[in-house]
Amino acid sequence: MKQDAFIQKLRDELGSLPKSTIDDIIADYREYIGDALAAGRDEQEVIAALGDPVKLARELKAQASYREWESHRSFRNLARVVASIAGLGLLNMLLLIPFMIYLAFLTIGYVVSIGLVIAGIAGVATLGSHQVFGWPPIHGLPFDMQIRSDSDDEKSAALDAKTAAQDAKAAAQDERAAARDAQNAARDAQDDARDARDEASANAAAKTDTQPASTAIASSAVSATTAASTLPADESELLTHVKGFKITGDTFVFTLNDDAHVAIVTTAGSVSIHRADAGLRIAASNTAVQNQITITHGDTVSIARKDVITFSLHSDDSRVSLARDPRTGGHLYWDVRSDGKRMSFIENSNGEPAHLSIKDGDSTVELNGQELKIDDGNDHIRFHMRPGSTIASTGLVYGIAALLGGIAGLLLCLWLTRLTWRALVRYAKRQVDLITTRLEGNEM
Amino acid sequence: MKTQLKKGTLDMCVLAVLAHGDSYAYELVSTLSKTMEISEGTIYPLMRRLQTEAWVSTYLVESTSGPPRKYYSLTAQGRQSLDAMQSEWREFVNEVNSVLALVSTRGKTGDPQ
Repeated sequence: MKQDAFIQKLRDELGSLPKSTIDDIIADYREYIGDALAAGRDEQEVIAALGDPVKLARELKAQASYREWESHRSFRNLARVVASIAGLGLLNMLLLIPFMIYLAFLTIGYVVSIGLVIAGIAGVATLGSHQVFGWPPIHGLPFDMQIRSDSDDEKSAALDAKTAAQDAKAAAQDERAAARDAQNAARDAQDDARDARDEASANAAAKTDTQPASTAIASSAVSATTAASTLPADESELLTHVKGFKITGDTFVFTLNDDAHVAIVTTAGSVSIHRADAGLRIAASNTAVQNQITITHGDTVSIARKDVITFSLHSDDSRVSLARDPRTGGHLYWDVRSDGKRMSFIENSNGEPAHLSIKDGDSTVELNGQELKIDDGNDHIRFHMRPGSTIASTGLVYGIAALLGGIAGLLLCLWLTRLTWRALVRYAKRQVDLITTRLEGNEM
Repeated sequence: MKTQLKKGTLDMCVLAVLAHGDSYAYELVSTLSKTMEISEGTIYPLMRRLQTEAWVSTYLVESTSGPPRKYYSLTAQGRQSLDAMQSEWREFVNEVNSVLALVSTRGKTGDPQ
């Protein structure tokens, strides 16, 4: 091989190195060959003594890239070292494949962690800002919804039975206790004579009075819930049939019509009221009870809500009964029935609804704590509020969790990268040392 | 065995030659090859490594014939390393020699001292 061929081959093989480095190496060999020729040696012999240019170039390259890496420790330079080692066939390909898979996973880890951090920051910032400044507004429904439909009649009949059972269960012993109390009170009242009647005036008065009453109950029962808008239709219709009962502020006001009788247990004692020809007939267990009730217009009775322990109003086919439960700090259990329709609800001592159920034949609307069920015998709709949280606070929790998870993931990835980096550097160094050994040891 | 031995000491030999005065690649190889076997092709990788260690520095001198020559010069750091290597080498050679002397004496006389 001639000098020029050797130089050309060397230059080609050194291709990926910086031009200045290549020029430097080429100049070295040109100088050497020039000196050898000047000393009178044969060109062929000198070129042969210099060795295989391809192999020489690869080894020079590995060394050069390693030197480059030592002076400037960037990932690019390390990659070059590894590539040049690979060029010498020293890198085990079987080792390389799992390493690449590992790198891919590490990359995915980075992407996921960074994504979580960004999502977390965005979530926390948005929801934090929403909670502190009320901006940006968040429109979301903080509940899950389930809709189930049964078209088959037999199935729906079975389900009705089941629903009824569930109703009873859901309304629980509380409601049963309330009903029992009210019934007892009612029975007391029935024992009394019931000869007094006045149909016309009572009915007339009742018709006008019920509308506000129903609204009052509806709003007290379902105020502050999203379900409010779905209820009044059923409720007002139901209460329209319960004539002459309304709640005015903290007072129960009722007008007795024909056939109607009321039994009340108050904090002072018990009283029962009927309609008589001349007016109301009141049977009170003591005078203190009598003082607790007020009679206006001859047929309208009012009593303070706080004085009532149980209350029962019966007329033709309607019944309103309520009972206070002293164990639960004064929860009020309401039960309103009329024409096969039924509404029951539990009010806590603050007047807020804890449980509400309305039945009309096959149809049921039930509001229980954080659950709303609407059922018409065929279609079952269930809303479930996420317990104890609004969408904003739930989101905030998720946001913080995402942020923390992301940071932890990122730290893990960084730690792994550092570990990998070190291992790679150590590996590259060992390989380059091996090249040097081969270069200087074997051939000298 | 020979290559293994030589490998570690080649650095020292090159530095020792340079300690007597600056030189260029071909001259270095010629000097070394007077007394030891050396592959010509690898003088440059070796010199580059010594440069990286900062044991030698280079400068160019215009030549009357052909391209300018790259001269290698021993640095202060290189001299220190050379001194350290030499004393280590002498120590090692002495140890080896005394072992060899001991063995050969014993072998000849059969009378351990």
